[in-house]
Amino acid sequence: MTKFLIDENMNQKAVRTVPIEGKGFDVLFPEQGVYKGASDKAVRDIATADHRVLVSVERDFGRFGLKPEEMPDGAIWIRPTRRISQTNVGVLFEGLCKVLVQNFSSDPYNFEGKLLEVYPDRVDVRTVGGVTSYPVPPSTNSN
Amino acid sequence: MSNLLTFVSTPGGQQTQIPLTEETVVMAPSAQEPRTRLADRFVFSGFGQLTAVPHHGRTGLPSSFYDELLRLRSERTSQSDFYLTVSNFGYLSGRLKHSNDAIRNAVEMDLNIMHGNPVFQGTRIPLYQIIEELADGTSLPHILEGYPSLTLEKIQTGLDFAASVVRIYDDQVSDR
Repeated sequence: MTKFLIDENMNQKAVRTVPIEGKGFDVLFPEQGVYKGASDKAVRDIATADHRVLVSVERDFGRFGLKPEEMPDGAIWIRPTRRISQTNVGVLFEGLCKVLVQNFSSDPYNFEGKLLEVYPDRVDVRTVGGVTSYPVPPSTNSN
Repeated sequence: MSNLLTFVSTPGGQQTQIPLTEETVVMAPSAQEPRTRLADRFVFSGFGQLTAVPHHGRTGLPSSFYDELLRLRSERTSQSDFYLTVSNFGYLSGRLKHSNDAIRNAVEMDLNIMHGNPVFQGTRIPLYQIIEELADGTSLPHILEGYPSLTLEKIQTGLDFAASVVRIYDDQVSDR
């Protein structure tokens, strides 16, 4: 089972738009966890100890060079280019889901050893072997 | 807590951290930091800013710091290979420290939480993020739904602090 830890800075309404709820995934929200107001390191440690994929939208998340080997169960870093908002995070999540399904269809929720950086136009997957970029497919929604 | 001066040479990611006693915090980005974002802040003027280094030097920066800067500069073919950003941590924490009780009870700054960005007290939610939500048109009820740790009062007080730092004269200061 893939387990997620949603950082407190994530707009939870946007997170709930991701089509993973009700599909057997284990999603830990700040209200359920012990990491409300916790330090950056504590949040990462909790995710690692509980084998969870850390999901964060922090602008400075990568400032100190988090490496794939430091997050063995994976991490997802949502990176809006302009504003961090419910709308923009929701759009990025949608793009992430498309990339996962299109490129990792056999095992889309295997984040082990991967740091995923989600941009509006692409998803960068960092592993100990390097970085691979996957373009986000265009939206079919004409609106 | 002492401030940190950090510089990184990219793309190698070489990093040095030096504690400072002054208010200014200078931090460099990781190699992953997008150049477009840096351009908004401080990019190629990095060396211009470093002309202030001798001033810092008098406050006791180790000479190895200058040696390293000179080495990095000599290794680079252009200034665009070297980045430096300036953080407002020192300035903002000073403003927060001198804010009124309501603001100090609603906002906190800790270099270990969201890398020192002002957050709502007891949370990991940066103030800037709520401002960005509002700027993007998210309504307050939706913000409260999206961030259950927040209350309307907390948001309003956080915005009071944000407003106070973009005014020349600050009437939110504490009378202490």
